[in-house]
Amino acid sequence: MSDVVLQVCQVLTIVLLSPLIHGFIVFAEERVQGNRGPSILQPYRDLWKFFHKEQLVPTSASFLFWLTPVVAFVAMMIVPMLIPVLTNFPLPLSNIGDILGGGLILTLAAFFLSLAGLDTGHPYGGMGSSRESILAILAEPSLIMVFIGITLLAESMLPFVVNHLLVGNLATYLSPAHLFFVAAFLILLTVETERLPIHSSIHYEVYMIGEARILEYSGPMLGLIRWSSWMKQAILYTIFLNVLAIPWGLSSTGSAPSVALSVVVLLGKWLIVACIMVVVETVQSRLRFFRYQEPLALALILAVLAVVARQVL
Amino acid sequence: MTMIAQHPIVVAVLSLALFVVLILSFVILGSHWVRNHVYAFALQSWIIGAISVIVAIWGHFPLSYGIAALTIVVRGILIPFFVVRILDRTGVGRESAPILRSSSAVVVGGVLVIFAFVISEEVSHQLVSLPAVAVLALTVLLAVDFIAFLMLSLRTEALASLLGLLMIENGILAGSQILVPGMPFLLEIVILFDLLIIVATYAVLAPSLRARTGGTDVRALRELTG
Repeated sequence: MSDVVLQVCQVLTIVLLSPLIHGFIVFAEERVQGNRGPSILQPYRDLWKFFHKEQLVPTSASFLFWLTPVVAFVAMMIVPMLIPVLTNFPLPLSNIGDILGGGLILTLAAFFLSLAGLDTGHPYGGMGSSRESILAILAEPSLIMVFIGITLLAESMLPFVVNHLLVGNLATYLSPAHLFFVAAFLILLTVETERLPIHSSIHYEVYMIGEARILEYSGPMLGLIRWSSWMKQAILYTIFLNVLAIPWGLSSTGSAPSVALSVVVLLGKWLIVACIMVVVETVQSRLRFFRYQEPLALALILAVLAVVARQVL
Repeated sequence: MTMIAQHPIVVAVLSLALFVVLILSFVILGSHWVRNHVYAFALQSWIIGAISVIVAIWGHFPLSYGIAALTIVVRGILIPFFVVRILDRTGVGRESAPILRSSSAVVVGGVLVIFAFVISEEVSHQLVSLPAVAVLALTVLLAVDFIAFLMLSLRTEALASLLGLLMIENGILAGSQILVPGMPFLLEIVILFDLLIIVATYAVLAPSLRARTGGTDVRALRELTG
């Protein structure tokens, strides 16, 4: 297949399959807790419902209210171009940004969501924005340490180079440095996808962290924001799996059957992370919000240990 | 030493074990539940026993088997058993008033690891050129000891001080097994004797502390004489 078609396939994989992971996680959590749970396809039905509803806009909202869902959604469509989703070789436009560039675009979407939370003047929106910002500020040092470490490990910031290094070099894959990076990134993953024990699965406004920012949204705009947050989750899982944790199973030729196979493999890998997330969310009861530093401090320590391990060995 | 340092798989296993020792000392530093400290200490001792076995096999130091056995029996089983018994009797659950929150303490511990790494790099550069695994061993030795000192200065619970002292000994043993393999057996026995005295002192001290101040918080102590 031509490279442009492949690139479109990469984006479409994230856009179309991301609600499925979310549906699976919700379903599996309910099953673990002994309930029947909604269908795995429920997120698609929710999207259908959202896009057939009326759009309501608060009187206090400015243009940011309209801009935010679009920015969030478009940002999540750009990031899949930069990372190996289906193929292990760079496709057209994947050199417009490295790992840091992808992180910047993801952060841009989060930044706009925080602005939108403040924009309408809703008290819970401001609370959600400030809570989410403090988490982002504390997660940032660990994230930067992980990026520095990966750059030292692969001597490059391109995700494709990291993927090739880990596939081709089993000793590097099993080195303590890499294993610590995987552990640190897993903690950051739970922070970014709101699955830490401090995040509540019950929808009470006082417990909400990032979610309180979008309380004013309804209808198609809410659909776009929900969809973009599911895409963000899928993108982060994909970076975690295809770049760090399980770098195998990507298409190396780009032919149609191998790409189809790599989609199946990707679904299988997502299933593994989804099961880990279900365990993380279920085994620990909800902690109060001010325990947020402990997992983040742990992530920072793991990243520091990884860099030390990389420098020593 | 050279024989150990040159085999890549042995180096990989040893470095992984050293890192687990380091992470367990972070567990001790970060958790406020005293019982977790004891379990982490026991696990740390078992891993150090495993390091001794690896060194014994690959370096052909038969006495290292003895060190491994003593480490596992005394540090891995006897000391944790006695400390848990003391815990059950005195009813100490968790550190009640830490000076620094556990997340801050862990971050300070991370800074200390970097400091330890810089020192061992400099030692390797300027004094003797060490192989990578020996630099790592020196880093872990220093880092575990720094973390133990940090714990001694931050924790006010008497048992935490005891565990800090035990951690210092563990760090030294873990690092020296690789830095100076074939360490004299007598030295290990002397260190173990040290440990037993530390635990025995605590066992005598804790009840009298409780009787006098109603707790085992060393901040409540105002004088040394009886």
